[in-house]
Amino acid sequence: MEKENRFKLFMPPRLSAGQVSAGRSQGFNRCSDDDFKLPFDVWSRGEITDSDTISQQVKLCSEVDEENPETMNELFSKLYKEAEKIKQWKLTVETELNQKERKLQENRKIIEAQNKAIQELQFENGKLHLKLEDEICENKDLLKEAAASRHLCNLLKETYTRFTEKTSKYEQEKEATIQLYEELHSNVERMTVAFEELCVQAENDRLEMSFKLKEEAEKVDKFEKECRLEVSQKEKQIPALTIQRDEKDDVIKDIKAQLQTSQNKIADLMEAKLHNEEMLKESQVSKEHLRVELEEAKISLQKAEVAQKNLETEFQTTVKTLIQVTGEKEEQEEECKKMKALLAALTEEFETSVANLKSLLQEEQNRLKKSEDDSKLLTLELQNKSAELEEMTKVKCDKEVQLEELSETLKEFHGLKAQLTSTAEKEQDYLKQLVTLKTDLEQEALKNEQLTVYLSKLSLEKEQTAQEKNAVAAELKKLQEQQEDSKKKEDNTKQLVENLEEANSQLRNELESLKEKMAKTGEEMKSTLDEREENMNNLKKQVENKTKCMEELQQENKVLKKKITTESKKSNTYEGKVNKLQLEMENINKQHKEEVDIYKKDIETRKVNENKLREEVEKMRLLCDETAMIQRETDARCQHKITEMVALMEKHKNEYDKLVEEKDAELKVYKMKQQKQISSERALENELSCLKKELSSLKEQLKAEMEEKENFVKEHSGSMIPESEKKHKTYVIKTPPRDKMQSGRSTNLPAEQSSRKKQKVLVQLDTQSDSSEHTDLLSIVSEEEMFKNLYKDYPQASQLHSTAPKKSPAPCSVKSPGSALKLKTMRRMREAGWTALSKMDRKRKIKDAVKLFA
Amino acid sequence: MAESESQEGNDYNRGRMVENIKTDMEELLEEMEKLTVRAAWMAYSYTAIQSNADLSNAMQHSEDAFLMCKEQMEKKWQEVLLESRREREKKE
Repeated sequence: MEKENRFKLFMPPRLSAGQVSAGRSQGFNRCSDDDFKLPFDVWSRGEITDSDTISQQVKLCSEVDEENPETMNELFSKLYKEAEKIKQWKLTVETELNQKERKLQENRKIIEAQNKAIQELQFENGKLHLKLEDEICENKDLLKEAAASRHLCNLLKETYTRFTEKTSKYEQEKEATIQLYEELHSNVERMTVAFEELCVQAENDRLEMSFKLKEEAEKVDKFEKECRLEVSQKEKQIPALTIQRDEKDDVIKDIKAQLQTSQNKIADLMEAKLHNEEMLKESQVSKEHLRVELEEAKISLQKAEVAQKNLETEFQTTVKTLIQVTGEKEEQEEECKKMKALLAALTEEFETSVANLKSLLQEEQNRLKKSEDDSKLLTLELQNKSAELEEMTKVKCDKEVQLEELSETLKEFHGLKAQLTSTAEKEQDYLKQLVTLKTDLEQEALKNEQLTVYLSKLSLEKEQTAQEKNAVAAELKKLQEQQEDSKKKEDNTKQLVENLEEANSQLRNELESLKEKMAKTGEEMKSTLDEREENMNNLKKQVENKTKCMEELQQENKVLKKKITTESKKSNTYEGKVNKLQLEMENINKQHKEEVDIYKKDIETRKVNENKLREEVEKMRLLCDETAMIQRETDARCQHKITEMVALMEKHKNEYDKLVEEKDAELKVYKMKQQKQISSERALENELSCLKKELSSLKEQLKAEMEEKENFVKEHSGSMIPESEKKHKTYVIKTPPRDKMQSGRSTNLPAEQSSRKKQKVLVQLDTQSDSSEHTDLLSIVSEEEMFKNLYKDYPQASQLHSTAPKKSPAPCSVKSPGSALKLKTMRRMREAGWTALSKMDRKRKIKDAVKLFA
Repeated sequence: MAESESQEGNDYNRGRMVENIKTDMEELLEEMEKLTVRAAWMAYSYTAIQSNADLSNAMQHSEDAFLMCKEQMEKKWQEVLLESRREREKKE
């Protein structure tokens, strides 16, 4: 229990440990000596804080337990003291408890307030949390926005950079475009300047071209005139020149005949030459044979020499026999001498023949020289003749120049060309002939040269033969010497006589053969010489003939040369002129082509224009056709309308005539009535005057009565007055027109009736009529004013109008303001108007149509 | 505390970010202003270039001159030819 109380007591000191501990310490200090130690111990044990006191209390308790008997009294005293202490302590504790309770309450209140505050703070914290969350969200949002803005900023930066780049590019391009613009502008300006310059140049060029064309045209005209004059002049000269040409043609023909003869002669000469060549060949062959024979003779002579040498050797052995043989040798020597003489004679003869041949050669050379001289002379003559021919050709040239001048004319150009071609051909033929003649001449010259060559060769051969003969003579001399030697050696060579005899015999034989051969050769030589002589004679003759022919040929050559020169000159001149003419023709052709091209271009442009114009013409034709059709249609319509109108007019006229007749009758009746009415009117006028007077009096009475009535009405009622007044007014109003009507009806009734009838008639006509225009007119024709207004445009109608109203007022004034005159005037006006309308309408329509198609 | 510190750091960073954004935006605004000025100047220049009627006028002048040249060429050549023909005809 005490422990429990101890434990229970232990509770409160926790709360207020500090306060209690002080009190308890005091209590311990006080109650240490009390009896109630256990409770004090207990109470002291309650003091948690004072562990020392607790230990002291324990010690006290322990001491107390030991000291029970002794100290019971002390304890009781102590207990009393402690009890008192305890009481005091209780009181204090109670006060403290109360205080503490108060404090606790206060603390509780405070706690509550603090709790409230805490709750409020918690609320606030919650709110703040919310706000913070909101703010956090907002911050997050802001961060997001910031991030987005950062992104945007980055994008903007990027775009900025791109934009800057693009702007830089644009600026570059701008600059480039500006430069291009400037360049283009400058180029365009240059182009404009160039175009203007081109215009100016073109104008200047055209002016120049025009001037040039004019000048050239003038020149051409002048040239044409000059050419014409020259043509005329040369036409005059043509016949004479033709005569001369004919003469020359005859001459040419003669020359041709001569050429033909010369050609024949040349052919003959050629044949003779051939024969001579053959003969020469034969002579050459014979010469060759002679040469061969001479060589054989040489060989034989050599052989003889060999044999002689042998004989010499044999002579030495046969000296003895030489004596016997000397005589024979002498004889032989004599014979040899004879032979020598013969040989000498032969040599002499050969020499003479050679001399003769030489002389002949010389003669022939002389003759050749003569022939040459003759040929030279002939050439000179040919030259002279060529000069003459040249002169002739010059004359011909002059004449042909004239002819060429003629040929320059356009008309005879082709003829002259043909003539020129023919002459050229003739000239070419001549040239060919000349060439042939030249060739013939050359050939003949060649042949002559060949002949000379042959002759020279012959001479050379003769010289050679002479030389050979000389050589032979020399050899013979040598033989003689040898024979002399042999004579000297005869003594030594008698032994060889037999051999020598044999040899001599052989030699004799050989000699005989040789003699024979020599004779033969001599004969042959003679024959050959004879033949040569003959040939030479023939050659001479031929040379003579040839010279003659040469002369003739040279003459002909000269003539032909002259002709050739002349004709060559002619041909040259012709060619030159032909070339000139060709150039001129080419130029003219070019000009013509250019002009043709220009004309073609013009033609094309004109064709284009023509086509355009044709198209336009066709269009216009179509339009014309259409307009014609329209015209026709309009005319037809007009005619239809006119016919209709005419029909209507006729109808109306018929009707009007009928009406006129009726109205005439009515007029007569009305006239009668008028007359009656006039008489009645007079009477009525009298009555009217009386009646007027009565009416005036009545009026005065009525007025007085009206005034009285009005007064009565005003007195009775105010509403009845106006009706009465009105009635009176109406009554009053009605009266005058009735009076007037009564007065005027007698006179105007027929007019009004007629007018009304007119109106009625008009209305009937209006309903019945089909035409449009005239109906209106009909409706309006009832009055003169309307007629005037209508017929202002029609002068004819105005005349009628002028005439009509003149007539109208006269009869009207005479008779009466009745309807008969009006009817008549109206009839006339209408008729005039109809006619005028018909005429003017047609005229107007025709004018309109004319204007449309004009 | 850490949260507060982080929050504070975030706030500081946010502040920095905001300040940075502000500065960046200001800079961008300035730059954009410059760009707008440039663009306006570009547009003005383009309009000035396009509206420049010098080229068109010059082209028209050149066309007119060309047409005049053509007409003169055609007319006067034809006239020259006609005159030449007339003269020839008269002379003939």
